Amino acid sequence: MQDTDEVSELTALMKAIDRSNAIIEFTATGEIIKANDLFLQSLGYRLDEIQGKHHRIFVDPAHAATPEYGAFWEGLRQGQFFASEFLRLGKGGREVWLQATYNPVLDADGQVQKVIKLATDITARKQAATLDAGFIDAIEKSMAVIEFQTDGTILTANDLFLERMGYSLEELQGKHHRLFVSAEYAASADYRQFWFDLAQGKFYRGRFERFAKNGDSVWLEATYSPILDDHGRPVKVVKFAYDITANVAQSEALEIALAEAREAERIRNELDRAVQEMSTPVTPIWEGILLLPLVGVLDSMRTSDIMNKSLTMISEMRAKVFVLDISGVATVDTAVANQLIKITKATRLMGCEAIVSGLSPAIARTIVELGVNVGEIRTTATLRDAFETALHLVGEVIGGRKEPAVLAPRA
Amino acid sequence: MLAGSLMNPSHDTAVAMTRTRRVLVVTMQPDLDQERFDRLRLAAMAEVGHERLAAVVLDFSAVDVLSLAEFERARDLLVALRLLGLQVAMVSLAPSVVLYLTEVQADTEGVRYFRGLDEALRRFGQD
Repeated sequence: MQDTDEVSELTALMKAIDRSNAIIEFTATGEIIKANDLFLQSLGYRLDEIQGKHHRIFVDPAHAATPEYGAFWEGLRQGQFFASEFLRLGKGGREVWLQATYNPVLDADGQVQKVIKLATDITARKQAATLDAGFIDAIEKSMAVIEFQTDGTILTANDLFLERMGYSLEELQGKHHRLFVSAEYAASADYRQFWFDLAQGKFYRGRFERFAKNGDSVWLEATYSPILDDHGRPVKVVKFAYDITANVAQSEALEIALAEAREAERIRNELDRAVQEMSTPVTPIWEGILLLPLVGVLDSMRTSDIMNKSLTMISEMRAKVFVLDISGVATVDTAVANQLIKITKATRLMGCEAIVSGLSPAIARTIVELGVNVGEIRTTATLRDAFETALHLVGEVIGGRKEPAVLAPRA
Repeated sequence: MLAGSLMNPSHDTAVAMTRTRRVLVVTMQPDLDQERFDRLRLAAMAEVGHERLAAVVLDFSAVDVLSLAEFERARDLLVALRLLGLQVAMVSLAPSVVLYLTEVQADTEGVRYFRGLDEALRRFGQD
């Protein structure tokens, strides 16, 4: 009765193993006897395709030809047990990673009767691990990486980090992160808070100024990533960093250059404004009378400025008369004459009388010779004459007030 | 202070006209399109036909922006009124408007221009 129970228990156990493991049986020399469904499924074969064939169909032919492979089966024949991760080839040459044990089964004489292989397909895990390893390798090659305990004690650092900061790994291991920061910052509450936060699992990212062994300032674009255990507790902190010292230096240089350019532009604008003010000094010289003495060259741009300022002043001061003195204008040609006509015409539209003074006999002759139609522009030879006329127009005489002359804007 | 009456012959809110003795003052609106201007013109002409007026003044003090077409419409109205024997004027053109009219070489002849309405009224003997 007890034997029956044991047999039942063993049968149940075998069934459980069969359900959860890929199992294949070989002769002591490696020929396949049988395999369960999981094994066949993992390797992509049907049983009749592999039965009677040698184990070497699952390995790379080059590997099958090596002394190691021969020694492997010799060891099994000797009753040696093997357990490891094995790369095997499925149907069509597909790579399959198996976590497997090769178990020699001995007969009553102690001779190896057969070999049972119990395996688990770990291909997906291996591929993920390979991918992760690739990522880590790529990060290691391109970024400076350093690992700390959660209190800031240095665990390890990669070559890029060591090279940039000028330390050997031995010089850093066991030291604290404060080695890389200024004494002021290391003693600050901010710095204590920084490591307190990291120890609590807080992630930091940003630009950090650190100091190399030789004292040089090094700017790092970095992340401080707390690594959590299975219970979500921070166990260490990994810092990934790019050296951006050159960029920061460039940015600073650019900012300085921009600030200088802005200052230069401000000064230039001030100068322009001052020059403009000086070039169009529209001045109230009497109640209702504005004077603009023009000096130098009169071009279309300057005319536009003069017009702008003059019209605004006429409006603001409610001027009745606008005296434009051209004694200082170098030459009067057709263009200049036309510009003057333009100004006086605009002045008239504001309801203000314009007088152009300072016309020398030579200029008057030139205007006539050029055939410029000055229309009904009121002109005088001297500024004095213009002023007298202007006073008359606004109803003033020197030394007393008289009735204003009737302004008769031309229709 | 204007001593006159506010008129709106057609009860049209787009047309604001004031008669001070023999001077008709038309306050120009900032958004006077062709249709509104036609109503203004008709109202002004009607007023001129009914009353013995000496002058018509267009007051632009409320106008900051004026197109060439709008200015020409206003000027044409005044020139037409002048042919009827009236004195005509525009007052209070903004510097920016004057600058624009000068730049586009608008024809400004045939109309008198004053800095403000008071000056125009004084000139036309209505003070």
